[in-house]
Amino acid sequence: MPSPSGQAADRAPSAPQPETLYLGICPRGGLDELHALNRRIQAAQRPLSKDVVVFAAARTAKEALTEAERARAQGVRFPQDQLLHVTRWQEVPATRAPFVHAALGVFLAAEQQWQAVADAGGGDHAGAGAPRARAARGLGVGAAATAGSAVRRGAGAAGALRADSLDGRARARLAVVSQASAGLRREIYNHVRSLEVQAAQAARGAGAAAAATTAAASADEIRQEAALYAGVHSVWHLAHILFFDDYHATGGGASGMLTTTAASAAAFGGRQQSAAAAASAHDGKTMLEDLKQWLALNHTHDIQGQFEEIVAMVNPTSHPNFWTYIFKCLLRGQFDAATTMLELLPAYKTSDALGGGRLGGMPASLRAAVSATSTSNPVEALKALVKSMPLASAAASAGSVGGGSAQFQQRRMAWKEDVLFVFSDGRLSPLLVDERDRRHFETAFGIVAGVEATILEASTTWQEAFVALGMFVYPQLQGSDVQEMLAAVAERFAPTALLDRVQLALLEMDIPKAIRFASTLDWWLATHLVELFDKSGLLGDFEAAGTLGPVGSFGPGWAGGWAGGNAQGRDECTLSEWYRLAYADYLTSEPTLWRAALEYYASCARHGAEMLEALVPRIPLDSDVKARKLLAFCEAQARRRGGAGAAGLRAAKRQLHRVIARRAMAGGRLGEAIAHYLDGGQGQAVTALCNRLLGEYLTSGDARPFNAVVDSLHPSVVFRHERVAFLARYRDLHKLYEAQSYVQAGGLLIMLLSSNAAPRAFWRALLLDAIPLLEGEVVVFSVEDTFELMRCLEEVSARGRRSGGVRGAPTSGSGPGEADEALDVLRLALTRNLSRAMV
Amino acid sequence: MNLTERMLNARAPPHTVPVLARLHAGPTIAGKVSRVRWAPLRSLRSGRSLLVAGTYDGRAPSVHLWSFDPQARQRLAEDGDEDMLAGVLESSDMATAATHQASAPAKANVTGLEFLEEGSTVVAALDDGHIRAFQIQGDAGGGAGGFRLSVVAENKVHERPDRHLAGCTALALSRASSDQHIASVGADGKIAFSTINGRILHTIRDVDSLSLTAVQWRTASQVATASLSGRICLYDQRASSAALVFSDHRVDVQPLHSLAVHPVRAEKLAVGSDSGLVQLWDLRNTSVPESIESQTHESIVWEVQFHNNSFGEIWSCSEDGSVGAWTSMVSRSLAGEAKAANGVMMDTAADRTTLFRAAQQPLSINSFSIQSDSGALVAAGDAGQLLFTFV
Repeated sequence: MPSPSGQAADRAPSAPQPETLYLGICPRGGLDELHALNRRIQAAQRPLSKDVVVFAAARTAKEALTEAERARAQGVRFPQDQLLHVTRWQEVPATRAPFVHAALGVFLAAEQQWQAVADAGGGDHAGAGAPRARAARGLGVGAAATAGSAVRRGAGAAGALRADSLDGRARARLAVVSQASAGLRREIYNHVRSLEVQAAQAARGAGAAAAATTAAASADEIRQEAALYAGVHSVWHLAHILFFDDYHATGGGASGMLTTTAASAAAFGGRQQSAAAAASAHDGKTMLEDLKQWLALNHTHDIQGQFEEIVAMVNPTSHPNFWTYIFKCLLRGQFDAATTMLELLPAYKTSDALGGGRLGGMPASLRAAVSATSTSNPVEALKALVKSMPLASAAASAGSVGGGSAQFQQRRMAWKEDVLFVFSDGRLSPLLVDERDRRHFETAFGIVAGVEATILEASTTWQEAFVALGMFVYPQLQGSDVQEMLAAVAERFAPTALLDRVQLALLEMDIPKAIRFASTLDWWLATHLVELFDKSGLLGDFEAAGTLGPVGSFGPGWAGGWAGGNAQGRDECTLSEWYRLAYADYLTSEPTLWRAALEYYASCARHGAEMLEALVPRIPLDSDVKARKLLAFCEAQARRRGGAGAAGLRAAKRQLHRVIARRAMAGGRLGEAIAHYLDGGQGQAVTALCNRLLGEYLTSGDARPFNAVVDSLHPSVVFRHERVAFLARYRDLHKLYEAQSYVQAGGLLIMLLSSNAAPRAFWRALLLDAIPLLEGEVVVFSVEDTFELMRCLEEVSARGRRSGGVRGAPTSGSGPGEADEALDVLRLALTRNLSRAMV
Repeated sequence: MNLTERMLNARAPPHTVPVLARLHAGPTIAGKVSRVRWAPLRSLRSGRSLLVAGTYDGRAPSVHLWSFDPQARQRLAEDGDEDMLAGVLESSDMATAATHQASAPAKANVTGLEFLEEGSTVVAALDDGHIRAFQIQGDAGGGAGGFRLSVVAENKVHERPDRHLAGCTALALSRASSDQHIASVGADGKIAFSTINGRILHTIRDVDSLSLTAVQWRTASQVATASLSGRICLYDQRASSAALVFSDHRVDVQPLHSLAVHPVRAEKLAVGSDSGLVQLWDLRNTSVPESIESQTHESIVWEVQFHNNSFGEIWSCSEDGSVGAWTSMVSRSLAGEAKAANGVMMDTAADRTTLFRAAQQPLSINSFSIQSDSGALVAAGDAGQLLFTFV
């Protein structure tokens, strides 16, 4: 039976209409008024974020207006003229931030493990090139394609992977995928739970705790988020069961051992994985069991609430939903609950207290031996039947040829015969049943017997029906079975909700359709599904063939959808990378998620580096810790990438240094500015700042700021730049003065002047510093030194005469007159020293 | 060994493969955590010990209070159930106090957090230059909302003009048992000494032109500071110039992000640097660090602490998402002297580093705290999750 996949169903639901944001610049639809006043609305978008500034601007320039128009515009004042509206046209809800970070953690851990597997792979990767290059490409199509060819996919709910076709490395990769998937599911689950707690708190109006953390998000919004993420969890869980859980892929308990042998690839995860696998190493863990669990976890439909209602009554069996509840339990495979309820029926009780009911007192030892065929009590019969229903083991349900499957079929047939003995053609012949309950029992037995019509009628949702069909009608869950199940379910229920569509697409193994619907549901979901599909190699065929088609909603503002065509036509950007780029773009709309956005960009092999270079300098630096973390991030990324990518990131880091330096300079913190400009590679700025610093010192005479800056410069920093080196030596000179080592001070002074280490502009200051040395008792300068000083002095005064003031150096007077006076003193001191030195 | 040889030897830190261990995941705080601290044990309330965490870089930076059952360790040993520990913290009460006043909507991130000795007052240093004191009131038995944090005092100690990145960057409380003084450092290069009640005792300016990142009290009247220029400075409380200034001159500049003083031997300092290096300094010889240093981490070391209960381990947490415990011969000898009476024989094996990581959570860990009696270590970082283990 063809699945109802006509054109209508395949097309994604139309994208939600974008909301309009009303800013109040003019009344709604009042653009004409604006034009009359010669105004228009203008907007500018902030680069790499979702902020936009909107304001009213003139429509035509004043000069271009005619006289009349100008006169008319003159008298009118537009109230919004001086107002700027800054708004954000896309927002990440506040409650999502912790989830984003938690999911980011799992994502990064998976990336690291994947990298480790790729690196450990070594040489058996045909045509891969250097491991480093491969690691740098990371998630490129190359690795996925090779893995994909090793694990070729076919239809089939239990997965067509054969354990024998996988080599150790492919298994390690699957282990990484499985672990990442399990981790993400755990995070989604935690998020949903915490949202529910928050919603309860907000509803109660609890005080400071709720207000501080939810920041005025109302209970309704939180509940909506919780509902959305409950849906995401359901989809993810299903995808995990069907595609990512490597327990099924590698054929059962073997995966536990394998992950521990691939310990280098997944050091911590290995422990977790093997623990989980060990716990379920028995043959009972089948796809069906997982599906039952999926149903129980995600689509409870308040079964617990119903149970409590029923038992709360004095006479439970008279509750109107009594039988509905029992059918529900049977459909979901919760047989114990069903039989416990059934035993409450007074008419069929077999307990000793009641004296055995119709059956008479039966010794306890024999009771266990009651089989369905030997009793006339319908409750006992049902109980015996469901207890003895054979469940497929893992080996059997994987469809592997061999004893397991045949044995199971035999047992199942034997069991079926028992069922038919009790219930055939809709009649419960050998059982003694009350007339009132006959219909209900017929339904119950019909379900157990696997009558499709009964099952479909008794189920309330298609998920229930699907799992029930799997349990009772098609216990081995072969690929063809699944098609029929889906067809039957779709016919009866015709699900149209988006969530249902995604789940159905997953069950149909139709990955492109599933992704398309998922991207309409939630962008996080689509991105990570594509990511894990890519890692498992499931996307390879679809990408190359370009069958993925236009994405349903064009994502969050990433203009220009990926409109088919092959991957090569788009600069070799894989689909997985495209989604991650779009998701990172979405994250940039929230400033506190900057780290997540950067990490997602960093994971994109092809385009990530350029995006990082563009984004890093534009992240608002509002705290000191954030600036330090950003720098550390750039450094770590540059180290990790190597080659071209590293160069780009180092450029980004230098730009960041320059941004910080500019801020520091504007804030008057010269030392910090110098240090960061040095790191940013701006030598000229450093020179200018050094001059300024020295100038301020010489003008004000306050040594403290100067000393603080120069002392805090590390030797390795000092010698990177000659002006900074000069400052350091100047500081040394003053230290020598303070320590009264005049001879050394003199030597340093001469060295600074004669070696041209000192910039011309500061010669005057240096020369004036020499005066105390010249006037002291000890003769510090020799004859040659004195001649040197005189030469410098002449040069300084010549310059002074020429330009009427030394450029750049502070003048401590009002004009050349006073400057010359100081120099005259110096000249005198020099001559005196010369005479002393010659002696 | 002369200086040159020591320098050459010190260039290649002993290469040891770190032992890996696991941090267990606890409850999540909505927001990135910048500081966590245990309350001193004498402040047990209803048998539960208290924990505060300060957040930053979120929509509403705040201080959170959690209570924790110290008996959990025995239960863990008995049951062996790791995930059970998560429930221990989850069932506790959480109280929150916003760090900013309603009238000043600018966010003020928490950059330093300490408990007073008496255990019911918490002092927080904020990004905008304020220091706030919170009082813990209430009792654990009252269920949700049993504890309350209320602001007791506030003081503007550092300046944060518009273009600056931070006001106050770190905080330390003196070790007196009463009337503790607060030393705080800021990005403006100032050290400020103040009291809880809001009186500023003394300010030292122009300590460093780059941002000061850490401060610790060394003796009753002296503090040690570390800065991004790689310098460690010692200042007396009433002085205006440094008692001692030194830095590591061997290699490229190492910006320092954290500092710790040994609780018993006050001449031993440990610092954490930008590149993941943890260095041990002896103040008697400040030309080079002690010849052993450890490349414990790969990225910024946010906090360093001495843990004097065990074998002289130096604990550190880092941007690369790990908490490291490093023991070396030198650090062991420090602990050994404190325990000399036991006559414990220390093995002279090489350095050992243990790295604790949370499973599937490689985001940065910004702060950690060890409760000395029960040996509980709690760490938290950018993921907003409290991670813990027993040491």
